[in-house]
Amino acid sequence: MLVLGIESTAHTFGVGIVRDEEPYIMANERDTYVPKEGGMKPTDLLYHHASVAPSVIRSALKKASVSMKDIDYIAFSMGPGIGPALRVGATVARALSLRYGKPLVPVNHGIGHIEIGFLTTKVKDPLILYLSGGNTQIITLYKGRFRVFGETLDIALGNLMDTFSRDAGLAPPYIVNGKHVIDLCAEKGKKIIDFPYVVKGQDMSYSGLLTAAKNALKSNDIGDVCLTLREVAFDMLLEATERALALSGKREILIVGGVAASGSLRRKLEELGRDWNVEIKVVPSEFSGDNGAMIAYAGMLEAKAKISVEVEKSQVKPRWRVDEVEVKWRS
Amino acid sequence: MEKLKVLKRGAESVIYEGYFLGYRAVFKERRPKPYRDPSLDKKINMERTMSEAHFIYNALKIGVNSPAIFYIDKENSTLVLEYIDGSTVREIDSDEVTRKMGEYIALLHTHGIAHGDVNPNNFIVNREGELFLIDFGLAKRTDDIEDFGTDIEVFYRSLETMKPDSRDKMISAFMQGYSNIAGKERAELVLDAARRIRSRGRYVSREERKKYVFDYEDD
Repeated sequence: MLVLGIESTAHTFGVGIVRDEEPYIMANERDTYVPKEGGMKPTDLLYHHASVAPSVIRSALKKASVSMKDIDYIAFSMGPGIGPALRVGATVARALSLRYGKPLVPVNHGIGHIEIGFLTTKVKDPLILYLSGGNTQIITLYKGRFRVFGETLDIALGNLMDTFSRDAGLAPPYIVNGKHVIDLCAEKGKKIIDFPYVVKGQDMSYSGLLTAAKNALKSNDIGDVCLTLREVAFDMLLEATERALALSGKREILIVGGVAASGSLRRKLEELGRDWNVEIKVVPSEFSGDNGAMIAYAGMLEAKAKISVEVEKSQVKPRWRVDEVEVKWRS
Repeated sequence: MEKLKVLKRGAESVIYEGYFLGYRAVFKERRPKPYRDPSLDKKINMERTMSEAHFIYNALKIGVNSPAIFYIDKENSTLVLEYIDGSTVREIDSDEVTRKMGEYIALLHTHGIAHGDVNPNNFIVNREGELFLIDFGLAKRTDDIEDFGTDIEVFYRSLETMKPDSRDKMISAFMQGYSNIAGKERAELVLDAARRIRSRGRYVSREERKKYVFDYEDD
């Protein structure tokens, strides 16, 4: 079985091709939109994705040395994500499905991240941290669903870091020599300032921290602000993670999503892992950010469980939560 | 004063069982976290220990059963508390107990206290069938309906992961108990606040969000 997967929830238009046996991933091509200044404007994403779509698909097919007629299923990220960006991926997927007569498979973007994490790290029964620009969730698989144990009540961890860096004049670019600009700036920090540390049960709230950090720039050294922002933000997440560990009794932690690439977070998590005697497994960096391979792979699992969607009913779901999906292929 | 064995490793503390002046006791120690900045760590641990003692005392005063405090060791961030012999509500399924849980939380709320971590693991029923509320580590003084709503929302969420099958039954018994103490009108307001908080979460369905957020932009 060969599945072509299309990712287009936010800044990345990605196409992956997988088959249902080792080594699974045959192609993983992508083109990521980087705004010259400010954040991502939905219409700019739309133009970017629409213009790169044909070439990304062609290069994925070439990489995998297959043609469209070899493909059995077309998987696409149906949500969650930014509406206009999602619609480009969905339109391309529908067009391919109709033109070549291949069934369409709807994939939840978060589940794509999680499943590629399972595949690449060989975890068995982990507590999952899904950390990216748009998501901060602590997840466990229980009774056929990925249940959200704890999550941010407002903005996501990646969003907090990026927005602060931008507003403080540190970015773009957000990543320099493989490090986030917040980490580079924090290296110059010496002391911890008093910032709001908000953990509510298993949930965290980051919006107050962002405001406090922006205000603190007026009367503090920027290194100290970066250091405190990073420490407080990560510590809140780790405290909620410890709660989830204590309650769920899991022996492994799987980290997926774009923020998984952060070295400073990884170091903290490894200390937590030693303290709790749990293994920390991080998705490899080529699959941590948004990519097409994860959509193709999750789509392959779904296709095997006979999940597909008719073109007429394939409307995108910008707010589709991971816990709304019945994980048939794992029950 | 002797610590005997580790009973439980909680999220932010280690609970030992032991004896204090001959009484069976639990020791709740907030140990330094290796991943946390030491100055931030010390500050958080000390603050939470002192504030927890404060809230246990206040809970007892207003009739919410809670373990008595034997001793506070501020420097080591340790509380020595009465040992409650029984099992947590996670292992129990009884509408009567769930109603009583709602009554306890309503009592706290009507006295301006939010518990901060309402979940089945934090309620213990002892051998005599008396209900105890434990773990005031995240409690706070407040008169903001958002904080009371957060208690309900956090409880609801904990049921989703711990008791997904009896979630709705438990929430309804819990809110029944809540309105016994706080009154129907107040209970409705707090439940509404909980729904509003939920609707601000990420990826809430469009219909749900529209009910609560008026400046919602359609995408």
